[in-house]
Amino acid sequence: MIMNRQSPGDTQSSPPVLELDQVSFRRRGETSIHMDRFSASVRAGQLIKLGLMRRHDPRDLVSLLIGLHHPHAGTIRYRGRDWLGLNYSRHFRMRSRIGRVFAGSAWVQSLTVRDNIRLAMSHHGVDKTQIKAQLNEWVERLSGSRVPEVRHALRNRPSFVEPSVLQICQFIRAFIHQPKLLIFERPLRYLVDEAQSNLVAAIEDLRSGGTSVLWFTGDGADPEVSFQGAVSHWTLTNDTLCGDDHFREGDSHNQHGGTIA
Amino acid sequence: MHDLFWRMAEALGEVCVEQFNRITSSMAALCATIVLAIRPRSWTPPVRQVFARQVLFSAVDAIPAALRFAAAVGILLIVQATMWVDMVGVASEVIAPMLWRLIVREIAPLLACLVVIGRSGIAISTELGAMRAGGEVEVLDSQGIDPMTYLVMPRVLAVMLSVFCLAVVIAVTMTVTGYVVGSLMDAIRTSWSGFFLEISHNFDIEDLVFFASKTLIAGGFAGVICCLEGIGVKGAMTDVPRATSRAGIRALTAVFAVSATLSILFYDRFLIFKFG
Repeated sequence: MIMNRQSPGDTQSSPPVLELDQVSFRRRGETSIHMDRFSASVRAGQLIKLGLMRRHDPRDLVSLLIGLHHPHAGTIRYRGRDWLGLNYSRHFRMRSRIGRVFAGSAWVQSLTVRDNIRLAMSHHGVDKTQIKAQLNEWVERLSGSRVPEVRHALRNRPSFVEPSVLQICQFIRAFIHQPKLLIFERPLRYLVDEAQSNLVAAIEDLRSGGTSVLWFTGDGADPEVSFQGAVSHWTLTNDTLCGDDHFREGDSHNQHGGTIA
Repeated sequence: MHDLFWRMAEALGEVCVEQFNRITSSMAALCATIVLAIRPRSWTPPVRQVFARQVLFSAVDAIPAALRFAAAVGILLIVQATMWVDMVGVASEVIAPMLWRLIVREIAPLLACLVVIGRSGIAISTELGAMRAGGEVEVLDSQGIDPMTYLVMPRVLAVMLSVFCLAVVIAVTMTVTGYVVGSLMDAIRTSWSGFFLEISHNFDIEDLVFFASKTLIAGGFAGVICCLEGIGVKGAMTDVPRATSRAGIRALTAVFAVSATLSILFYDRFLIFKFG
């Protein structure tokens, strides 16, 4: 893999989309990723990679970042607002602009793939014709030569769709609502090589429009892709994302605690 | 001995607190459902779709089962009523109002609740339990879709509406069956119009209020309990059957408790004793 390792200076001045301040978080599962007084910020247009071991499941960590779990200590802010308080409507509105690609269970099994993709937009009041137009656009853009397969898959329930096609549909669902933050959990697991270039191009486009990207990838077992824009890194130590205290020995880490490659 | 007493008291206290918490959380969820339902912005197209599907499944599809049960219970009632009329020696004209009151006030709402819980309540808790265990609730949450608005509220309202509508269907079926069988057994000697007139004379607004509130409140509790038990599943798919059976029993318990409480509150009577 050839990765552009330039410093992400072009995003340093942009506003933070996601901010973590001294966050500590621990789950009991052996596959979970923990946080120990971790501070970092994800700025508009920034792409941050977190390399995972094969045993890691990033689901809990991602759920923490989007306010579905609460940290034991510290604060997480998305676009300047935290996930605390009882104003759940605000939390749901905030989450509506986050695109998430799941590593595990990702679909409502009782709905067709098309209904799954349309569900959030329709629920958040987007017009039917606009949803249809967006869906067609993203199907064309991300499917490459597999457009007929993806169109066919839209009519079926998720359990009847081949995983590589279903993964493309996950990307469509994540991108369709013009997200401010995109979170990918092992996104390349089922993706065929041909679709990767479309995915990268789409991500680069969204980044140039100010979308931040968190990319949770594998330890070599998963394929890698290269991005044109700058890429920052968070590093795990003993299954934990640690704060500044734990990185004194590290060779390069940013002012918020996460390392930059 | 002293120690045993306090341990028993502690265990009893824990049971009481647990029951109290369960009742209050069910009531809170029912109130939250109503608050969500009266907000127009909750009724997004997907929520309307879930509501419509649930009404179709819980009310429309349940009509044949409700008709069968109502016909059978109607026959049982008229047979028993005839036996008691003969034994006590009252006139057969007493049957119509007695049957009607028994049906409207108690049997039709209870039977409708049993049909809806047995047919839909268990299915709802299974579906929601499987969704929770399979991570689907988290998928919805991640997309900014409130599970309470999308999953619970339309189902609870659909159950309430279904219980009310099925109770009407059951009441009418039982009355018609009672009249037909009663006429054949020579227990009812009036014409259908006479029978209907007798019933309508005995129908007062109090019965209507009682019927509506009993079906809606009992249906609401049944729906909320089934939804909460399903969505409260923690862990694996193997926990779903346990949660489902628990949901059925708790919903039935709630329905009987609500029916008894409302009967006492409305008619100011408990068995043959009058309060106050």
